[in-house]
Amino acid sequence: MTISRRRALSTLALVPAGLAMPGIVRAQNAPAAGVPRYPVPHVTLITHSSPGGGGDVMGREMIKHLPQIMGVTMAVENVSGAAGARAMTRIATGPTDGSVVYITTPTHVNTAIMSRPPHGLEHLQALVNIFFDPQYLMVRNESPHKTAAEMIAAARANPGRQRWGATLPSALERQLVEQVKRAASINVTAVTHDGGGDMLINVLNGSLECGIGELQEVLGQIEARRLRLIGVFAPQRVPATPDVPTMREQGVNIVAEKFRGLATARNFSPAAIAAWEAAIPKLVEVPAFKDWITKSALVNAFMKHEEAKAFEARFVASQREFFREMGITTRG
Amino acid sequence: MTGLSVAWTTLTGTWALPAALMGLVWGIIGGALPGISASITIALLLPFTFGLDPTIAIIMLASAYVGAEYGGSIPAILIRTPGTNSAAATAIDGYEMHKQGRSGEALGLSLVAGTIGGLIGIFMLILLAEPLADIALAFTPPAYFSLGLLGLSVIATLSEGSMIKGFITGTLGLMIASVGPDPVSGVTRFTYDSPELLGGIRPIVVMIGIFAVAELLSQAGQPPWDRSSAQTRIKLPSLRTLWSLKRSLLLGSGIGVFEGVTPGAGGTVAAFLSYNEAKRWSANPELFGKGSPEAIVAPEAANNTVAGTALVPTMSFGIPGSNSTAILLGGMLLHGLQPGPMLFEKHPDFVYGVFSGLVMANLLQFPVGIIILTPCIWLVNRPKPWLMSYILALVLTGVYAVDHSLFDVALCIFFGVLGYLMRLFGYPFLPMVLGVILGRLVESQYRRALAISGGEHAIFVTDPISLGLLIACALLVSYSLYTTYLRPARDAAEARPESPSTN
Repeated sequence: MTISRRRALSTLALVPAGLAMPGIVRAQNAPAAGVPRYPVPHVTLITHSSPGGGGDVMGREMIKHLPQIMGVTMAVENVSGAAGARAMTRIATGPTDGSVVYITTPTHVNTAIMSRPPHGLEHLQALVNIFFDPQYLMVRNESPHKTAAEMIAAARANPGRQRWGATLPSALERQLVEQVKRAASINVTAVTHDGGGDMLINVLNGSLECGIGELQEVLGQIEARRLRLIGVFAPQRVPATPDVPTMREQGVNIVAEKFRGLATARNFSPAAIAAWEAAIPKLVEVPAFKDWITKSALVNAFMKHEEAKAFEARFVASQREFFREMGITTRG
Repeated sequence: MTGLSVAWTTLTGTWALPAALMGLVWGIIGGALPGISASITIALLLPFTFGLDPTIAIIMLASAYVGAEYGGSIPAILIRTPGTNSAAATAIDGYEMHKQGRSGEALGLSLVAGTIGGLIGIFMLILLAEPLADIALAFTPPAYFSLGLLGLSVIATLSEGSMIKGFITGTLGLMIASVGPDPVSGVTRFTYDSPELLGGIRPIVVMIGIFAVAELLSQAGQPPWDRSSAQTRIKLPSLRTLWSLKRSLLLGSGIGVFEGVTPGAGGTVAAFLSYNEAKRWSANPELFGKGSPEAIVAPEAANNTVAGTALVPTMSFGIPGSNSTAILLGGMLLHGLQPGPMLFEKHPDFVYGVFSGLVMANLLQFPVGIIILTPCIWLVNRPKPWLMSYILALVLTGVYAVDHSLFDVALCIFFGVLGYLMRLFGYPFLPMVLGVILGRLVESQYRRALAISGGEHAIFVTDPISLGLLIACALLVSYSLYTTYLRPARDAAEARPESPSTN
């Protein structure tokens, strides 16, 4: 019996409270060597995830180590609901002195493109990028295809016959199917689902030839030898799955850029930006944090502020294009 | 054996036991308050489970269901006002016994019969749920579609007299389910560019509005219920008395098992059915209606059995058969658990944890039921306006807590008013809830099946499970059509020659 994640998290939630208390009476701690002094003594990381969700877990792992590196106290706050719109408003209307920072995934970008939230991308900017969530091509154990290359060759031999599963219709996984179709000039049907678990059933019962998804959702099935990973959409092999070749190795040059980073309001304090740029590379070297990265099958993809901004602009443009192409949105 | 060890670990190593106890106490109190049905009792508790581990949360909610089924019999016996619908059958002879000065005896019979029935229900749940769910992986998109359709066809049997009205509210539910992203293409529908609607409307907001808020509004328009004497004490039946009642007990539980696993029936039907059957098979049918112990034992055993067995279709297939299980299902969804064939596959710890929690709740029901009687009577005797306003505040706070959204609160009030109007004009609301819950499943699986088959509808009949479910669906609908339209017409035709003309 493992300790439930929720329970562990509620215990963890006490950590920032405990850290904040001495922060009130004591002067700000000194940051680690090479990290500029942070302009404010306390930072709140906002996430649109509910407790236990992806962004929430990441934030709570970060605040275990970041306070020592940056010399500040930190807390995670869940501003969930409205698919990230509420969190965006909180950031856009909050202080710009460095005291509130948003933990981001593609969710808020999609929300901003697909609806008209009170505060959208024009009010925010990328601070730094930290990780990519690698996406895997998976088949059931009985599948005759041992590699992605074999799967694609079979698809080419039988045009229009293969069905590839993707999680949500607006998710990156579906975009990857479309990208593979284009890059490998094959014709397969992309079948979207209501989530990863939903797709998993259809891969396992043979309704789909293969599916694209994240490692964490299928770990149990892989351990039970009911599912195999035949390719990963990452620039290089992922430490958590050293035996799974990248799609690039198998002749399909596509990398999934499902990012996990930080964002802030426009006019964010330059001193704070500099501190984050120095702190994140130190954070990913902390052994305990490194273990968590490996366990979570994340890929380091640190980008400094300017690079992250350029990446985000590219990402937003490609999302808009994809949504238009698929008929998900009609406006640009 | 792993199931048993998970159950044991859950019971000893977690908050399962206190959660079951709290759920039970809440359930008995909620059930005892007239107007607060079992489903509302569960809905009210739901927001307080948000921070909990999903297993603990569902144990608490299911224990409240168990408690409410017993609690409902307290005012039924003491003031002839059933606390829950399913206790209405108990009120008939229970109140008679009360008038004869045998209230303690009646309450004791209800408690013992409820505990026995409840344990039988849980036993059947453990026995039936997993084998049924074992076919999980065989459920392809066409099979899921047909399953959802079967769930929706229950509307035909749920419509309480008016099938047309049932279909109207069912369609309304389907329309609500279509708000949000299109399940296949991702195009946003009926969201009017509002980020609040981007994820669709949460079924739980609809349910709390339709069940709880609407009930409170409707209670507000009715006169206060009677007061009861605070001096009542429970008198437990002797073993010999129980043995003499074994036939009614078994009849009640047997009917409870059957009605529980059949979606659409629920505790009320089971209670009345077993009241009738107990009378039919009784050695002293003439005592029924005059304070017969059998007439209390049978319906109470039945509705408590249903509390367990109604979880079979809910957990194995994700199809709620009653208001209460609909709320429980909403609770599971809220905690990130998708009830259905995959639940047993993916979350066995949850399933066995809930089973063990329910066994405990049923055992605890016995001592708790004795202790809690006096505070329950005190609470029922409070002025109705106080109770109703406190409960409304509790409901809306809970809805706000789901997503920290005032939009949801407004939506819930809207659905409350809608539900009130539906009651006023005799529109059944369970079809609407089924539509909200199953609409998305039916639509997305239908279109997914067609994506897989390349647009061929034959996939729905070539998949054996799908075919079987579609046949079941057709049978269910034709039977309902027969009982609603053809049989009354035939009976009327037969009756006509004998009845004198009224013109």
